[in-house]
Amino acid sequence: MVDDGAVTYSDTTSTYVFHSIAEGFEVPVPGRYRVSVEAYAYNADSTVVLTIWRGRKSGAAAAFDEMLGMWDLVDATPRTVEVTPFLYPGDLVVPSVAEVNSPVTESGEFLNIFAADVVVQDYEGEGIAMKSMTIEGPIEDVWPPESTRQLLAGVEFSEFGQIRLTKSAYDHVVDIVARFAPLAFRRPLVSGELEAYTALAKSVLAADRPFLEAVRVSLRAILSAPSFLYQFGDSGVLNEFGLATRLSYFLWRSLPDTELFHLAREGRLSDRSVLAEQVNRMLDDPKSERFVKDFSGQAFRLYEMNATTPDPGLYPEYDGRLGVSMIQETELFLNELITENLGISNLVDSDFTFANRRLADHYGFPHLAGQEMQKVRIPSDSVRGGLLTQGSVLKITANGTTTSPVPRGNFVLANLLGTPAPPPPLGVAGLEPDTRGTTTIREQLAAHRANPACANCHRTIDPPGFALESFDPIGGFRENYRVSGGTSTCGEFEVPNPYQEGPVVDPSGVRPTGEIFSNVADYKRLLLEHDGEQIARHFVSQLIVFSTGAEIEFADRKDVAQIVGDLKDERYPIRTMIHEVVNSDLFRSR
Amino acid sequence: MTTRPVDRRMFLRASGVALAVPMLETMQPAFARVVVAAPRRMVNICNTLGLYSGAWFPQTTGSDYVVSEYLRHLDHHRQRYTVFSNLSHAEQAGRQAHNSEITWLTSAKHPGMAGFQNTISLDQVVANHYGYATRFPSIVMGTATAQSQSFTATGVMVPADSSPANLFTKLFLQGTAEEVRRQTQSLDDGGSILDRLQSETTALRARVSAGDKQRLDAYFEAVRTAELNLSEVKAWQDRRKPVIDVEPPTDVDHADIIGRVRLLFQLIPLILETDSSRVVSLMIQDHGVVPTVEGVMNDQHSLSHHGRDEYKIVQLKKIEHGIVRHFGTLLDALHERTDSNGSILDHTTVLFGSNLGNANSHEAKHLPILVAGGGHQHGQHVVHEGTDDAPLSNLFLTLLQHSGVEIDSFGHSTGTFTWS
Repeated sequence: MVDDGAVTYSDTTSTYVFHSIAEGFEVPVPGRYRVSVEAYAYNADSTVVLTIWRGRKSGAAAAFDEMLGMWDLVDATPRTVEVTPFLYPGDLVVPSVAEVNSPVTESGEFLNIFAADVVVQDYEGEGIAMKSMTIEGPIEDVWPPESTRQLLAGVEFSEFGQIRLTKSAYDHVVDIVARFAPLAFRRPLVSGELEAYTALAKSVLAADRPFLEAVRVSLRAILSAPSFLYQFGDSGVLNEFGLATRLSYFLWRSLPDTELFHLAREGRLSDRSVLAEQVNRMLDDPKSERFVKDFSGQAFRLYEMNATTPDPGLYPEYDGRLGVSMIQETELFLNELITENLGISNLVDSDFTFANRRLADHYGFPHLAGQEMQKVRIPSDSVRGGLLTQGSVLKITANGTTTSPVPRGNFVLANLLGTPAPPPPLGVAGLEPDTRGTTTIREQLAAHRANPACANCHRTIDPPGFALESFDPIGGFRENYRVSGGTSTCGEFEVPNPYQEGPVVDPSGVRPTGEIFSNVADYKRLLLEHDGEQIARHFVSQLIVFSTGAEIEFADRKDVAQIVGDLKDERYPIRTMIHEVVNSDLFRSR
Repeated sequence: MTTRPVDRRMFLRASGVALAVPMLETMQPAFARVVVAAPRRMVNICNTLGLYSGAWFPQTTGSDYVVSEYLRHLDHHRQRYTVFSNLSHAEQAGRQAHNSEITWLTSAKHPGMAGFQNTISLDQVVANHYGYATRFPSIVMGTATAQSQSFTATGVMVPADSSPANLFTKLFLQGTAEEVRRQTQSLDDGGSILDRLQSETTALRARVSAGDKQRLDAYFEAVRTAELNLSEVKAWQDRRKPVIDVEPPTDVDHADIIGRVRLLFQLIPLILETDSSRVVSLMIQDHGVVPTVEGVMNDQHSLSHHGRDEYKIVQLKKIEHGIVRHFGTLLDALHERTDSNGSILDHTTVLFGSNLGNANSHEAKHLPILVAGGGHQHGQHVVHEGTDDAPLSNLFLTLLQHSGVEIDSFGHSTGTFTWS
C-alpha cells in the first residue's frame, strides 16, 4: 500500500486473489456497467500496461478470459481509464498489470516474488498503483430499462418498476404481440398469425397465473418460430421485406431497423438510388463493425486467431495483448478500405496500416506511443503492407511453434485467390514439424515434392508459402529460423535455454507460371501484376457467399464476372464492390 | 475472447423447448421399448490433443505384447481391454487439423469444409436405442466448454456440460417442490408452444423454396421429437432422482485439467450405477492455458506441437500420464462396482482414445484407440495390417451391434471389425 493507492506488481488474473466480488461487488442484473480505474505507473523506468479483465466464477475459483481493455501508463501522473462492458450476474472484473519488469538478483536470476523472504517493502520492481476502481450500473436512464418498456409496449410502470395494466391482460398481450412479432419475423403478420400467438397466453391467464408468465409464453413461441429463426421466402426476386432482411443481416448482422422497415412497407427500398443511400447509411453506422468482424473472421479466418498459443520458449515476445492488436489491425484495415473506397490491390500491398506501440515495435516501425491503434504510413524500406504481411494472417497460418509453406500457401490460394488446392491424396504422410534445427521445412518439402503424386499440387501451393517463410509463427520478420536451445537443469527442474539462431530462411521460389521471385516483396509485386483480377473476383464471390448464405454455383459465375468487369477501370474499389453486390441479381433474388 | 451464450439452439433449451435433445427418428413408444435385464452401456472418452505415440502404442503385438509407458497405468486390467493400431476415419483433411475432433464419433468426411454436415455420432445411436428408458438418454460432458463430439441424426451438436458441480445437481439433487412445480409448468407451456410451431411450420412449408423446405423439415422433425419426448421428460420429472451417499463435487480451476478430468471421471460410475443414463461421452478439450501440473510450463496445445523437442515431450507426457492414470482409476471403479447383473465394466463398452494420431503433425491417422469392458474379447494389442488404416467406423459398427443395436452400417463403415 502507498498513501494514495494499492500497488500491484504482478499479473493477478492467474492468481485471482483480488477481483470485484472479493471486494464486495456482485453484478445484480445483466446490463451495461461503467468500470473506471484511476492508476499510475509506480517505480517504473519504462512504460507499464494497465489491463482490465472480465472473468467468471468457476466453482471456488475464478477464470479471467476476456480482456476488456489495455492502456499504457508512462509515469506517475494518474490516469483514469474507462470501459463499459455488458456484465452478467456472477461476472467478475479485475484490473491487472503487464510489461512490468522484475528486479534481477545479483546472480542474474529473476527474483521470485512469491518466496517467503521477499518483503514487499523492499521490492524494487515496476508496478502500478491503483488509486481507485468504481463500477457503476446498470447504466439505464429508467427502470425497468428502455428495452423492457419497448417489449411490453402499452404497459405502464409504477415509480418502483411495478407493472400497471391499463386494460384487460389479454388486450395487453395482443398489443405486445402485434408490435413484436412483425419485428421478429421481419415482415407484416399474415392473417390469423396474431390470434395464433396471443391465444397461447389465454390458457395461462385462465389459470390465474401472472400477466408476465402469460406474455412470456407468446414471446417464447415467437422466438422459437421458424419465421424468426430462418430467412425464408419464395424462390425468385426478393420482395421488399426480404430485401430489407438480407441487407440488414449482411451489413449489420441483425434485424432491419425502423427506417429499413418503413422503406420496405412503402415499397421504396428496391429503388436503386434509395438502396444505394441505405447501403451508405448502413456502412457509416457503427453497427457495420459487426460486418467487418464477421466477414474477416470467416473470409480471412481471423476467428482462428487464438487456436494456437505461440511457444513461449521460442517466441517470448508474444502475448495476448499483441494478439489482440493484430486482430484490430486487420479489422481496422478492412474498415478503412471500405470507408475510403480503396482498391483491392491494398489487400496485396498497401502504404498504410494500423498499429499501436506493441505492433509498431513488432514490425520494426518508428516508435509509437500508447495501446490505442492508429493509422500509420508504412516506411518505404519495410516489407509490410497488405493483408499477407499482417501479424494476424501470419499467426493463423502457423501452428504456434513452426511455420510451413503449405498452410500459408493454401491461405493465399484459398482465401485470397479463391483457387484452393485439392486435399492431399490418400496414403501420403504429412510433414512432421521439427524445431531441433536439423532440417528445414524447405528440405522436408523438397523430399515430399520428389513424389510425383505430390509435386503437381505443391508446384502451386508452395511458392506463396516460400515467400512468407520470411515471417515467423507470430508474424515477426526473420532471416534465420529460431531453434530451441535445449534445456539445462536448475535445481530439480529442467528449464528451457534461450532459443538460438538456426538455419537461414530461403524466401525465394518460382511461380507455376515460371516467374522467379527472391523475396516476399518480389512475390507481392508478381501477385499484383498477374492476379489482381482473380483477387477481385474472389472478394466479390466471398461477399456474395457471406450475404446470401449460398455457395457460388457455376451459373452464377457470369454475374460475378459482370461485377468484376464493370469495376476493372476503377481498379476494384471495395465500397463500390459492396454496392454492386447489393445491386446484383444474385443478392436480390433467392 | 469468449462470446456469450446467445446461440439460438441454447436459447431454445433455456426457454424450455427441448429442441436440442436427441432427435429420435426411430424412436418407439415407451411401452414397446426393449427392457433388457442387463442393459448394455457405453462410455466414450476422447483426448482431443492426441496421445504421444511413443508412449502410447506398444511396440509388440498379440496377447503377450510388451506394455507401453502409458498403458502401464492400466496393465492390471490387461485382460479387460484391447488396444488397437492403424485405425482411423477416412478423408479427415478439414478446414484445419483440429476439425477431426467433431467427427471422431461420427466419421463424416472433410469436417469444417464448405457444405459440411455432420452425421449421427456413435453415442447418440445408442441413446436413441434406449430413449427415455433412463432419465437422460445420454450424458455429454466436456472438460472446458459446451463443445461436444455428440451429434444428432441431422448433424446438430448436443451441447456438453463442463461443470462437475452442475452435472451432479442435474443428476442427483432433488429440486424443491416449488422448483418442480415451475419446471412442470414450463414443460406444459412448452407443449402448447410446440403445437403452435408445428402448425406454423406446416403453413410455411407450402410457401418456401425447395432448398428451404429441407431445412424446414429438419426443424419440423426437431419440434415433433421435442413434443414426443415431452411426456417422457414430464414422467421423469415426477419421479425422484436416485439418492446417493456421495458428497457433491466442488469445481476446480480452469487450469487444473487433470482435476477436471478426475471429477468428471468420478461421476461416470455414479451415472451408470444409478441407471441415470446408459451412454456417457466425455471430450477432454484444449483448455488454452498452462495446466497446473508439476513440471509443466507450456500450455498443452503448444506442447502437442512439440517439434520433436525432447524438453516439450517430457512436459506433454506429464499431462498425458495424469489423464491415463485417472482413466485407470475409472476402470478400477467400473470393475469394482456392481449392479444386479455383476460388474458394471462387464456390461459397459468403454472407448478411449483421440482424434489425432501424431499430434506433432496434427494428423488424423493411426489413431490411439482402446476398448475396455463390454464383454468383448480382450487382452491383445490388435494391429491392422495394410497400406491404409482400417475404417474406425467398422469398429464402431461392431461395438454398436454388440450393444444390442440392430444396425448393419455406421458412418462410412465397410463391414464390421472383428478380432479374436
